[in-house]
Amino acid sequence: MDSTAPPTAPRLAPLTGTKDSLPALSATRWQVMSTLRALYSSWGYAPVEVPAIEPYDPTHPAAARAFKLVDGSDVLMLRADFTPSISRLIQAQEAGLRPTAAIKAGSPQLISPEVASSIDKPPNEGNAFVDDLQSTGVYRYQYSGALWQAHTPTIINPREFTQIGLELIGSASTRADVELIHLARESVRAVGLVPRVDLGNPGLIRKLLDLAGIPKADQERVATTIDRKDVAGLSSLLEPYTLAPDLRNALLATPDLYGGVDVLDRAHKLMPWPDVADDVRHFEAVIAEFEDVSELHIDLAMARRLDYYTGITFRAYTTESAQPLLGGGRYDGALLPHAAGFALGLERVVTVLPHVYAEAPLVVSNDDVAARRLRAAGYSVSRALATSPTSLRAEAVVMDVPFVLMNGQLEAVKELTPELENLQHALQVSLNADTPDENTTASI
Amino acid sequence: MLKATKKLTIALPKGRVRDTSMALLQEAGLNLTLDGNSRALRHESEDATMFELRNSDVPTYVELGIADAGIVGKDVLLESQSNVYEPVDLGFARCHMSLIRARGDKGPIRRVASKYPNVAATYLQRMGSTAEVIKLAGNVELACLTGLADAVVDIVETGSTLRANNLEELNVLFYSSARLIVNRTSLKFKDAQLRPLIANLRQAVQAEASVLYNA
Repeated sequence: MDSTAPPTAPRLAPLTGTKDSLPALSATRWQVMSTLRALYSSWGYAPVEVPAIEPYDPTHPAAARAFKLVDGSDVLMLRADFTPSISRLIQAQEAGLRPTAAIKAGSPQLISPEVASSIDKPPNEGNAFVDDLQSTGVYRYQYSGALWQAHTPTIINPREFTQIGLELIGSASTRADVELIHLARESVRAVGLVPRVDLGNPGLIRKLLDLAGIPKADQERVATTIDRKDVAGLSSLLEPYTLAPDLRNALLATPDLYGGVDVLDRAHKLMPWPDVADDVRHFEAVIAEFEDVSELHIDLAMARRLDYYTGITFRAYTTESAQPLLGGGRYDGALLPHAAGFALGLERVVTVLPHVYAEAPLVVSNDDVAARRLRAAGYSVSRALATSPTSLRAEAVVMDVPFVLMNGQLEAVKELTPELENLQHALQVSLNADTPDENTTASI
Repeated sequence: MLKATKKLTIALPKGRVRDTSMALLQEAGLNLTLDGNSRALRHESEDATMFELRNSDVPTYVELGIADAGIVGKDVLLESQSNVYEPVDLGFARCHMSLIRARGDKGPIRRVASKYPNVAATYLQRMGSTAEVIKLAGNVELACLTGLADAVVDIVETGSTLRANNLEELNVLFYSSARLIVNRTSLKFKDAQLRPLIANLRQAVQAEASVLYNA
């Protein structure tokens, strides 16, 4: 205890692991959010929102880390992961709208009549899309908001953080994986950073561990050594198992299977087992869809959450940050039959961006009608608190605002630089412009 | 945050481990030199910048990307719970982590003292024990001789402290040795420098091991 502090000093800092955002930080956060929301919308991802409190469910993937709340006899938890909530939302939506029935009825909003008429034919290679649709519809959803996790907070893992993400539900095709990788790369580019996307496949690692006869209970531990590239630890964990030499070699080689696309050639040679080779081929098919692979890298040792991720997973990095900016992948069967998505950590992105200026007002005004014209033209105008001209000018000076607007007259209170002079001219043009009748505008 | 430069930044713990580490890194082709000033905390050489840190700070510097790589004992690494790569077991600074108590003590273990509270708590939880953990900063063995705790979790190198104080090891939690740890992003962006370093270190360690076992 600091004995010099007054005993009643209020605690001003927010709870450890949470953060205030002052205008400069907040404006940057908003800008990143709106850039990414617009990006995802432009690719056809519709926004959805889910509640921040939900019933406590011990089978929820983040149940152990969730903050629990008690409401009467109910145990609730704060949202600790978006994906399960979005899955629930989709299941709820599906319960009210059976796409199979809708397709069979040739429902126009879901599917074109030609496709609809083809679904009673026996499935063939060209029908994979329709096969997918028969089990569930295709949904492209984006979300954003705060998450809370209860743990000892660190710089890297705070208690409260914000994610922006998306889910592509209802297809397990190569094209779906490719779309998400495209969007992961675009997300980093959109905020002005240079991306590097690392691709892995925990499903492939799980198949290797199954082949090796490693019991499910021990697989996560073995996978962790692979994920940490801890060859020594991996080798000692594998020691008790009698493994064919080629299988042991393949497992011990996985931590070093990272780099360019040539990694897949090495994987092919090391892993001839049909199931595993299928995964490597799927990887090749995904890579083949990209004209420019320079920002794509493969790391087959990415092996976290084996019980959850089933296919390609990825993380996006940038040189400015020691932490990945986003992560995600395919989790078929974990929550929904065919599902993949990713989430970007807003704080991680904002930390490495220069802060934008918060939009400060340009004018202080006591003239509501004229102010409305300026606001309609996109300028930020603050309504004066002062009543007399002198105190109105003083108010502008205190607020560091360059112009005052009094009874229709625009006046500069700062020394006019050429820049401010242009601005004054532009403001004057907006004030003089013929605007539609005020009453009409108001009624719109 | 990560520097744009391609020069590596290496975090090493002060003391004996630093000297062994420098020799190994040298052997692996990374030329590190000590600044003439003995008080220097940061040593610049052509290939790399080297930070000299307290060993428990090495994982922090590497996880946050201030250092691209570092060398630290597995004991300290496990305690730090940091999310880094650990591609090479360097094989030196060998010791093991044990559950220790006064020889002949048969009472229940309700309280465990340790310099490694995370390691101790994880172990106790795995063993189904509900014992509480007290964090101490040093001379941990004294805790179970004075009644502060019923047992301690600590590293054992030669066992001479245990013998001198009439203590015994009940269980070995794990064996520890020095590890090369690497920041996850650094490995991706400084692949050209780090991949050969990792390969050379593995080779150097293997050569050393074969000399030992074939002697």
